[in-house]
Amino acid sequence: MESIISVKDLRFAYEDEEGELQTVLDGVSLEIEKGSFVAMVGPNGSGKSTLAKNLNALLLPQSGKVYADGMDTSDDSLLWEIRRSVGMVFQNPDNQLVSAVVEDDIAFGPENIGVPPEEIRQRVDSALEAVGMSRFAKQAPHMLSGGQKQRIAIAGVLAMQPDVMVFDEPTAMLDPRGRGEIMAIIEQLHDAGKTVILITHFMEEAARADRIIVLKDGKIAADGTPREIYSMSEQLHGMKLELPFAVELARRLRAGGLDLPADILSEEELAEALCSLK
Amino acid sequence: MQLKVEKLTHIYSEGLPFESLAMTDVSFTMEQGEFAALIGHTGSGKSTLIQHINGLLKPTSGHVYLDGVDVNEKSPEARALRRRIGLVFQYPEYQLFEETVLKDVCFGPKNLGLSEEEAEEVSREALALVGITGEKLERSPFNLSGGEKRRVAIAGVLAMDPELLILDEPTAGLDPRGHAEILDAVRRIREKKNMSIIMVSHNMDDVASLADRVLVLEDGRLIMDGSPREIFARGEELRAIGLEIPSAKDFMEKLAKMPALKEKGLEIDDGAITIDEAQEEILKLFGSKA
Repeated sequence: MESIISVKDLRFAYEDEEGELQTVLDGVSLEIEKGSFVAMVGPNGSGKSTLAKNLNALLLPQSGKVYADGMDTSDDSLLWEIRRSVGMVFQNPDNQLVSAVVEDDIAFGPENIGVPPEEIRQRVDSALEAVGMSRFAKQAPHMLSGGQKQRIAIAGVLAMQPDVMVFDEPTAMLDPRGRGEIMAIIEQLHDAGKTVILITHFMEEAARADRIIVLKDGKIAADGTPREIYSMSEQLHGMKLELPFAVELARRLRAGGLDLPADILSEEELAEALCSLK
Repeated sequence: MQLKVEKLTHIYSEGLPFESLAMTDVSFTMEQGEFAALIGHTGSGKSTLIQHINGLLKPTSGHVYLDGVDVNEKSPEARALRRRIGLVFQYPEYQLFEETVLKDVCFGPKNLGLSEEEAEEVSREALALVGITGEKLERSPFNLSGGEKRRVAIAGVLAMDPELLILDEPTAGLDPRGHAEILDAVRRIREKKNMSIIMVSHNMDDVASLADRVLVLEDGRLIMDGSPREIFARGEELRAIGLEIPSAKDFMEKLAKMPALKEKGLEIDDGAITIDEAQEEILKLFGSKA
């Protein structure tokens, strides 16, 4: 396996109101394989967002190391190349748009790193096409819906041609339609070969990844395929994590005495399993 | 307080080139103590309707009555009735501003003319109702979790003692824990106060577990009005206008269609709309056989 992100014994603490250090990441080590789709889940305060911000040097390790595509994030001279290689999309689309015209907004990043104008045009067009927003190129971002704005924010990151895209709760502020649009784009980007890291509270979204990492109290509490992770439904329930509907219903039915397999992941599987009960 | 919306129509920018019909002939009546969920996709007119109910927008035609008085009348009576409506906007925590949680909630009742002590008393009660107590009252609202901030903002409206509470997407953008805390707070408000509640929501699981009536808006028209069970039984129509149905209902429909069930001669009632109901129904059917 070729890893594109490498985190070695990462520790990070914030100072709280009283000036005391609160540990947020307590010795996290992980490798992320090139081209994979990894979801990171965990309750509030588990360190998910802090970990994400350490992946492209928005935050720097207080101890330990993070390598993005082989580059040490604590090496100042590599900062711009690291930020280009690992792009981030945040929760609130309104905080990520800077221009009054959609295509200017997408050109902003490439312009800043000195991409030649002809190539900028090309990058803007293909980024807009990738998120299905080509016909909105000349519009004002503030006239768009939340889901559309978030697609523009994604296009802005895509125009930097990153190898890795980190999504930090990209659907949290969207309605179900917007949420569906963004998840479809994330899956397309993964299919097209990007490495995708999705931080989410929604277990139904995490179920679509190849791998789920569960963080708790600044440590990795579980790491595996969705099927492996959801078969630990009792532990996840104990961690106050929301389970996908089918996983939660299966957990309750097992507790109610039904003999159902432990690794039920989808509604279809649960329906099948119920039908094969005697 | 009775709310009566009668043939409400609203046209934005009437007479201008970008004139648009935002609300068409909407009528319904809500009695004191009812809990209605207002659903519809983005742009269906939910916000326009809410703004009419508390007089922020005036109808192009039609009326909104509170206890039989038109909210748009210029009388002191209409003004007093408008004050009986508490509106909690989306992301209300952005409107917190005071040094402490308690002071923030006191702001409203003090403006209504209550003394310092009276304002504190109603504020403490409102905060307790949303589950904020003890040392948290003296904390800065800005140092609370997302779910806590939002509950403080809701308490700020409750402290004004409304008879009709309108919650505009009260759980949007919260993590599962904050989400559950808001739902608990809404349930407590429901139990302890005989308030009418209108909740705008995109989350059909929340609607199914809380509301006793569902109003569906589409394109500025009220196209459905009934109990959650009645409304969610019309899954095909809801999906056609881009709405979801509760996860439990969706699953029960899938399960009921499984050919293997029919072969075994098992008949399942697919009416469940919450996970509790689905669990009960499935255990009833399969539990006795296991």
